[in-house]
Amino acid sequence: MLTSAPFPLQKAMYRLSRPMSRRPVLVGIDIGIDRVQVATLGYLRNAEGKRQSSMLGWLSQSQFPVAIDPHAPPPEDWVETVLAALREKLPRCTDGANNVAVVSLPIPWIHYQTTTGIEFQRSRKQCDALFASSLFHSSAQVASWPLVPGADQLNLAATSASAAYRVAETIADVGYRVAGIFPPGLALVHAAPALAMIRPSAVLLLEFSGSVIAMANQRSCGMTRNLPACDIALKDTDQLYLDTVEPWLHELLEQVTATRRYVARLHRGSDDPLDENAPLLICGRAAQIEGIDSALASILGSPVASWHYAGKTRPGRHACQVPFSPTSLNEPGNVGDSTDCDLAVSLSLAYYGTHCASNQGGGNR
Amino acid sequence: MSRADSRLNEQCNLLPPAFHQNFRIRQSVYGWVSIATLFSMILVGSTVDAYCKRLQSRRVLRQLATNASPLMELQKSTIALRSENARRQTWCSLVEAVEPDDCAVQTLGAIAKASQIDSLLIDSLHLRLPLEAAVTDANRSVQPDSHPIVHVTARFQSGADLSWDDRLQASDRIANVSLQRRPDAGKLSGLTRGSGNWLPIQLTATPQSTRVLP
Repeated sequence: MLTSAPFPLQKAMYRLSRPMSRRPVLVGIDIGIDRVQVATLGYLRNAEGKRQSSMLGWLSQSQFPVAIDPHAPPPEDWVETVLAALREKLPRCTDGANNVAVVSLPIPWIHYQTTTGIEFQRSRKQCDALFASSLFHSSAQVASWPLVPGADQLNLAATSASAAYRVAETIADVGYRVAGIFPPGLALVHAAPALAMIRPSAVLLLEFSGSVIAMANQRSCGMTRNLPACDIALKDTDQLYLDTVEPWLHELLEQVTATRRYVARLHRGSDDPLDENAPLLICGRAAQIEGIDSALASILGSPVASWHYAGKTRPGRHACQVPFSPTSLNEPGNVGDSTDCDLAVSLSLAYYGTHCASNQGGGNR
Repeated sequence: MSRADSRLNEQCNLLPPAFHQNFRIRQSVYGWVSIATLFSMILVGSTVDAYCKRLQSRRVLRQLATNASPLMELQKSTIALRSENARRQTWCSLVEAVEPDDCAVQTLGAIAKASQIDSLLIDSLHLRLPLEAAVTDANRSVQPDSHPIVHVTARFQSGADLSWDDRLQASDRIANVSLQRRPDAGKLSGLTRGSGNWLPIQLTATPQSTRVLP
């Protein structure tokens, strides 16, 4: 009897079993200061229409503005503004889709600090006090990872627990399964070999309102810290040239050199040698300035690479037209067009979702 | 992904663990609430269904009873008629089984013969005799209440000599003659026939011979 099972039965069984084996679509949501960027990675289908387990492809990208002026002092209702923007403009999920969202918060929301295992609790209390006295008025949510594998020094990242919770809740309300909120540097370092095909010594996220450097080690991300924001008066109408931001770049590179020196000293004591010849990967809005990579390379005296998506497939450009300021960069006439450098964080976050989707089970939305 | 990596991944997460916990709690609450709702809906549905069925069956039974009541009355009357018929049939068979007999005539004759007295006026005569049934119905013919009896009510002219009871007693057809005044004597006291008073009397006797004629 069973051998001659009718065809509709098989079809029904296949339909029943398909949602269970549905692979997630990985969504990276990079919440910046004045905009939110969303990039999705998904598993590609092969010629027979079946999804391949290992082939990830870039499916879509989008971005929308947040009503915050990056040059004004931080407003009291910053969190509410971000939540409202997410609630209104975040792309909606289709019913039954398994969208795993990995989120990063605006750079000024995250505080980095180095500490040791013994002093960890004290540092945590310091972070609590810091965020209680800030505009968040909440306790701190602390994440930590070792600076060097096996070493006692820890890199600590802290953000407001309530703000993180509310952001995750808002994204979950739109229909995403929130896997986690991660520091952008961590995701960038983790995803660089897969997405940009470069194993960097460090990743430098260059944003005018605050940069982040994340050092890489053999296994994962090492030291991560915030770098100073660009205090050069950038006007909306300015065409950005390298000369305009050069003083800021010099200031940044001093910090980068100091950080690299510090990390190199840490590595000297460990069994994980630092690869001095690995390139510094730059991304972010400021990394789109023409010639910035060669300028940085000449100043640093080590290779510098811009972040470029190395996959075969990429989506059509359908980013919404956002009048950015002062990011009206000197690309030929495309205001608000995201290049790969700009989308590096959201793409890396989406890739980081492969890490989370496998071990987070069904605990999320 | 190794366990160490996943632990590291957990440690790097800036999302408060309460988010996932709250989500799981909400999920389980939703799950249980939906299960409870499902069960209560099943319960309510089955209760309503049972109630409706009961109402319907009651209505059907009532209709049946309404439709059946004339039938029942008909059946009752049929049973009553049948039993009555059977009783009467028994009587008929009893009467039919009776063997020819002249007891009544004999007794009446004896009474008539003894009552040829001028000063006596017979008002009524009640004679009861058992029937002698055929052999097949012999046991049924002897009824407990079928005692043979003669009741005679008469009026007697006062002052005349009355030897009516003796004459009856002398007849071999009648025995146990007893004569007494009638209880309604007062009412009839005003009755007259010709001249002189008439006394009402009553006679009770047992008819003696109830033999089957040869």
